[in-house]
Amino acid sequence: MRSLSPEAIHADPWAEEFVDLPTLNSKASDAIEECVQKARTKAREAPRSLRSTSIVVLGPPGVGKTHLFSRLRGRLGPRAVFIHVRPLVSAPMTPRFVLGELVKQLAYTTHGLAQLDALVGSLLAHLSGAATTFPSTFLAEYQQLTAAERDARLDEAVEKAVAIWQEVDDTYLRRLLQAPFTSGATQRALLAWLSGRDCDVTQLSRIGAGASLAEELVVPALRTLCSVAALGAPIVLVMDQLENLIEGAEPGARLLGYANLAAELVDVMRGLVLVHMALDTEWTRGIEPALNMSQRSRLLMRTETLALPTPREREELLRLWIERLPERAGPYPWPFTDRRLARVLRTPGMTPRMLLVECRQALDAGGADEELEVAPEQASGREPGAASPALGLTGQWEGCLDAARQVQAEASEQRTSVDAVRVADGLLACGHFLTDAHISTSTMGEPVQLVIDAGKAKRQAAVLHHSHYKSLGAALGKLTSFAARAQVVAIRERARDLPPTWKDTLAKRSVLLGTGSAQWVWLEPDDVTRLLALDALLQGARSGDVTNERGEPVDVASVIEWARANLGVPEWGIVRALLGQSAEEHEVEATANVAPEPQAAAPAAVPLTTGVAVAILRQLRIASVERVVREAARIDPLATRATVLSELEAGPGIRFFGRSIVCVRVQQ
Amino acid sequence: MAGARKRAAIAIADVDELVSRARAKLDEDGVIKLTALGPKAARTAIVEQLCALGFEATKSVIRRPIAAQLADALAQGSFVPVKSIASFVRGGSAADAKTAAAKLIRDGVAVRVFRGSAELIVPRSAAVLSPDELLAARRLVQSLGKVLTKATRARGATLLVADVTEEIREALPVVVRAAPASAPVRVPAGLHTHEADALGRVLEAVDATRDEKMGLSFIPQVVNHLQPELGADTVRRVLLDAAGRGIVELRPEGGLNRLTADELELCLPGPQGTRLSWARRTEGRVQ
Repeated sequence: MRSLSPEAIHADPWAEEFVDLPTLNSKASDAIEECVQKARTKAREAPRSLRSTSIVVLGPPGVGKTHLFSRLRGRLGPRAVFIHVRPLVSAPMTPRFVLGELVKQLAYTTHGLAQLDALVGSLLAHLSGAATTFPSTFLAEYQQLTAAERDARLDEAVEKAVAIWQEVDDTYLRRLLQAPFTSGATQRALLAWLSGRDCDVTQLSRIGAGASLAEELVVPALRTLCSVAALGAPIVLVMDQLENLIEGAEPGARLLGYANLAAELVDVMRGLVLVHMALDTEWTRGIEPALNMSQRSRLLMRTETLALPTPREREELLRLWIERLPERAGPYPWPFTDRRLARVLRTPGMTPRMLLVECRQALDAGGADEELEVAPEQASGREPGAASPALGLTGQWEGCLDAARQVQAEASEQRTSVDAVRVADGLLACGHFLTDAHISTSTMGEPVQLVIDAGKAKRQAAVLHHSHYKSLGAALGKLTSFAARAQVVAIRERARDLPPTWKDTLAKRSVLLGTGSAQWVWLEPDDVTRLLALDALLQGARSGDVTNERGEPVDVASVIEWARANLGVPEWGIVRALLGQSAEEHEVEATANVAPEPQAAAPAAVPLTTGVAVAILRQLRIASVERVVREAARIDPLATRATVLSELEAGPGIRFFGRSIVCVRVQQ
Repeated sequence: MAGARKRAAIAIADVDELVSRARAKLDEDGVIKLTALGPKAARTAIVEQLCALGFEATKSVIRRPIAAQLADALAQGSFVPVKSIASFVRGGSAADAKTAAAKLIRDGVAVRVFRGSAELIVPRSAAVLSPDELLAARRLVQSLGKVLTKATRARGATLLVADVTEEIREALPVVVRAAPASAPVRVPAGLHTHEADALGRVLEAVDATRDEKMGLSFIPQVVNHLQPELGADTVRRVLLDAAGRGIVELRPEGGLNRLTADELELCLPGPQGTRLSWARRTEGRVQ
């Protein structure tokens, strides 16, 4: 039963099915809906005076902040575009990060319709003077046109949008409008470009672009996106779990960076509905006091404090959950006894999450009237979220791992790497578990993100996620100059191995490694999974969203303690590699002089072959080596370029055309 | 000759339309450049008409009066920092805006206040101290300062929270007055007189200590507010009773170990190992 499963204790912002009691906190959801409607109306009637709005939504853990997001998504459907963002820990949040998240989530669906389709469909409908109620129908009409006719109509739409707002970036808008009418690799390339990610050469040539989105075009791109969306489906940008921005007692760079970003979004964007969600206590004591007057006046346009369910609402919620149980041993209030139900309904301070936990416990007890807990006034006085003796966070950890794998799968599907900043967040989270070393954010500048202080010397670490050889080359060049005055570590996902055709980049890498102050660390898929999961677990703990097997909240210190005892973070290959304690299974390159020949950087020992590469090639018949490497890495996480090449070279009937194309002769 | 006639024709035929177009732009943006008004020949006439409508003309722009723009911002509840006052107006310099602000203060539309080191212009409706209250606050700080110095110099000595609170309340009744408007204290029927009295006082304390933005009252503050007249246990019992009656919502602490040991002691134990640290009046909500 999904509705009462452990993972259901925490709201999934993208869940298609969820239990909702519309009357609970309707004031907050109405406030946001009202902002969306106002933005749309203003965009249509007085576009020049369209501005952004900002709402702060506060409440204790489990009160339903994230649920509010799901509810609004369900209620507004294609009439708004919803973006859910967790804050960054390792680096200040930037407009580029927001743009990336925004475009990434345009691919997510609500009521079976991709948000991208909703945005473009309703925009085109409005610009054509039609109703925006059914964007998919309107898109279908465009689909039936010939490519030339469609392009002409899209050009016309761009001109109309530019006539409304002169600041609209027509190149960006044109590509945005084209996206729903493309598919496969072209759509991936378009979305990669629109999101401001570093596109590779193939992607750029596919969409006819000369370069990825430059830094100075990011804010105009965001402004374009927000403005045009407001005509049909305004963008609701929800910044959740903002308590994670707090660093110690003093306002840190992260928080100030966020406040500046939010103020800029309010000032510069048109029609954006910005929602900030945080724990009430943390906002009033840690976040709001750190904001200056100007930031407060922009962020705090409206504050909504979410209410706890009243006894009547509690009963209605319980009824809704219980009615969804597939097998019920008795009529309502089963699995509650009357006595137990009365206690649950009258105990003060019950959040919806606590109610769900009570429901689960009653279900586990099989409807029996177990020994009632002591009345609140006689309770032991345990500190909030204090750890219960047996924590049992394994299920929670597994959930984080699954979510991380899903993120990796999405990135892989988009032929890109996982967000470098999220990987850096994960590495920063590892710092909590190191006794002899310290990991912190670096002030050295791009591309360096972290400082690893292992006692002997500080090392500057950079996660290199670049897709284009030129941008990677530029980053390597900067790292080489840093290497003259500090020890540097370059980290890159194994799945994004450098192809042999990137001769210039490989040479630059060799130069970097040749400085003797640099180290190259390959990030294996499992490392990425664990880093993302660890970051999510600790951020969740700070937000009061981590619960034990009984569903009770567990505080940050206890979560860290559990992770210390169970996850063995200091023994993770990537952590050992970063600390210079190179794990055997981890491929660490250089620190000594390396010959500029690219092949010299390959691992000395050729690992055993698994037959995966040959099997893939037999299916594809003819393919690029890159493709085979990519597919093999997806199936076998241990597969590397070297293993695939050696397997192909040894495989029967396999023939290479140059260094890039390979085919297999199939026996009839 | 023909050119002059043509210019005159443009001026006569289009001025009204150009004025209405300029007005629309002014309503939307607050400012319009003279060069955007229309043909040069018609500009003088347009400017005259716009000035007659109450707009201000400068060498290069026509704008909504700066004072009106500032008054609008204040009416919408903005607190205008003097340092960045120019960002609140369109088509005017910081000097223009400051002159307009001075006029608004003279006319009683706005008030000048200090927040820390920043100087602001706030609407007349904002809760501010009167001159008498300012003097009283100054006297309070001086007298309280002396007692605090004495107490801190004498090792091991301290002050009663109630004494400090009482002194502040006596010298600055505004602290109590400033509490946001709250639901009237309606004591449920059927309570004994002393119970009704305690409930009424606790509800008043909840109102007096409420954070205006969040609408929540911190329970340790509520308890301290009522001491020594009402003991901590009594206040907590009354709060629980009020929660049971649906008058008050008690909320769990969501902070990351922000409570001190003393505050933890004053909070109420909540469900599933939590602490109830916040209270909110819920009268009027459907129970």
